[in-house]
Amino acid sequence: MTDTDMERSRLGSGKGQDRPSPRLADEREGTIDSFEDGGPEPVLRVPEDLTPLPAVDAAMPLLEHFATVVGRKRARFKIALLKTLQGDGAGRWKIRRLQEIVHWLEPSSVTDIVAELKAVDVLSYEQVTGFYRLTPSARVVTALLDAMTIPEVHPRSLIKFLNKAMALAQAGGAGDDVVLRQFQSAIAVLQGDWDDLTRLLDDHSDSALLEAAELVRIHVDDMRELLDEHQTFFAAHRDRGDFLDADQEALDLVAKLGTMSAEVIQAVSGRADERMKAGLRVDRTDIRDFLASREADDLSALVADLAAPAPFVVAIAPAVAFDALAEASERVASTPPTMPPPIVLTREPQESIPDPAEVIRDELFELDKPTTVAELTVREEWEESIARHSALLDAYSRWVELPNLTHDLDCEEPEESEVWRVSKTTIEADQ
Amino acid sequence: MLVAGTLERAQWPELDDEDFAGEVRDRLGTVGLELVGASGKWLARPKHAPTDDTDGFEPAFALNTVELAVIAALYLHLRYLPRNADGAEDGEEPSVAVEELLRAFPGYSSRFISQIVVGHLRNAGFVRRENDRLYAGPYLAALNEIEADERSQVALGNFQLRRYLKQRAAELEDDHASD
Repeated sequence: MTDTDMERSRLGSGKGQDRPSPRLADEREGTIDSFEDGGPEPVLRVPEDLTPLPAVDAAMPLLEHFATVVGRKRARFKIALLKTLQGDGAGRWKIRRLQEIVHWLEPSSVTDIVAELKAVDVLSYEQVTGFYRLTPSARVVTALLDAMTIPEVHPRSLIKFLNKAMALAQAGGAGDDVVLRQFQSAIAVLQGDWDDLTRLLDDHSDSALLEAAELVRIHVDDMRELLDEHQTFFAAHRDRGDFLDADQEALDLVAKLGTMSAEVIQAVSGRADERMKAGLRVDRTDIRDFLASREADDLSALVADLAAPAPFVVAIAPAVAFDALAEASERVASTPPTMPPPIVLTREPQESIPDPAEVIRDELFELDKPTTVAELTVREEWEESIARHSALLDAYSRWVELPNLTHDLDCEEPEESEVWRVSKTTIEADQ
Repeated sequence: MLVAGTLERAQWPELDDEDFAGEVRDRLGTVGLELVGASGKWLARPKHAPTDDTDGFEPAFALNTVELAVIAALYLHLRYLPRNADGAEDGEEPSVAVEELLRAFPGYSSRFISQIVVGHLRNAGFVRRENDRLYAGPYLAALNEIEADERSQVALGNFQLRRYLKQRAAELEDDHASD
């Protein structure tokens, strides 16, 4: 019996809400694999039909095709083979033809990978004719994988991607709410653009500001295109408040971001010309506001290495010297607070803490019938149970005259405890 | 005399003579100084001031960050603004009220800026104080104007641009919030 035999109960203790989220558990364990293999099942806070899970469950047969192609061994070869097949005009192939088309792979490897794809229903096989075909789901998955075979999604293309995802969702009949969520995601991109742009106005980097404004302009153009392409879809949902709100929010953001990005680009990139033509005009208020907005460090940089001090040692003005003396003489040296009077400390005997191994040993001697380790050690709380279990191990390692143990292959599952399972071990106490 | 103080230009017409001035420049140059005429004075200043990190060098007199910041504020008010503001050249010697200078340094006590720092800069020849107004001293007038103006122009241009854009962003926010 080892500590790992004991597992926390997943249900019933009412403490599941304190359990770390799956993501945190993943970070703690270090790898996604360990999380998938042994991590706790996520706990719902609302009934399942109020979550996106039923829709995901319904789509799992299609979604699992991605996992079977991408998430297993030799994924790169399978994706490359599917991309090659997609580019071939024929809709079905015999194995020999497949080996010809996938000329960049050894024929025996083609046979292996085709067999693997057939086993997960990405390729179907006609027994009578001996032809292989891409299943309809596999064709969609292959097309999407082909489109996604890019090093990364550049922020520039974000709204374009979401636009095409909306079109795909409509074509596949994914439902209005799915399309709305994708649209809201595109709106969130624009809102993030606005936040970034206004934040960069306080930054001192023209290049970063210009770069952000250029990105915003591209996103605004893409959002206009999105609104045009899905005009009919939005028009058909005029009766839904959430669609109208999202539509209005998108139009507002397009208007203000379009104006702001154009003004930033014009102002930042056109400023040099303006200066050359007319020069910069300032007034006392500009100087006053500028000085008030800058720290001493920034201001000093304007004349640093230009303001050369005189080559002679300057005399100190008597008035200044006397002022400084007066200020210094008014200072009172700080003194530490007085120490409290001494007191006589009373000695107290050290608190006696019973040895847990001795306690459990006494309990073992008091047993008058065969008892399992779970019955002896497990309590409601995990911490107390594991402490008693460790004490039991400690006792058996220290004393020889303890009752014999009989190990069993079964496991016990104690009720009303945070401990889920304990391998069954019986303490053979005298009756 | 030039390594111990400044000379009134009006009382030293010899220095307007190119040959005489050339000889003075040569002599000053041998000890790393240059002759500069500014604000009615002749003065000597280091050609290339040694930096604080030069091995073994300890400056007898150095300007700290706050003093440099006050010099920058004075430069903008007394040298840059009169040359760049519309209709600012009215013939009077540019000056700025001490109160105006204090407004630029709200984080410091007025006593520290107006007496300690300005007093120090007055002794160093960067500023003159008459009643409650400050005037450019010869060492402020002797700043390299081309370089200082260029830096000021860039800094003020950035400030004006961002102030304008922030104002536009606030207007756009207000417009769409009220829709």
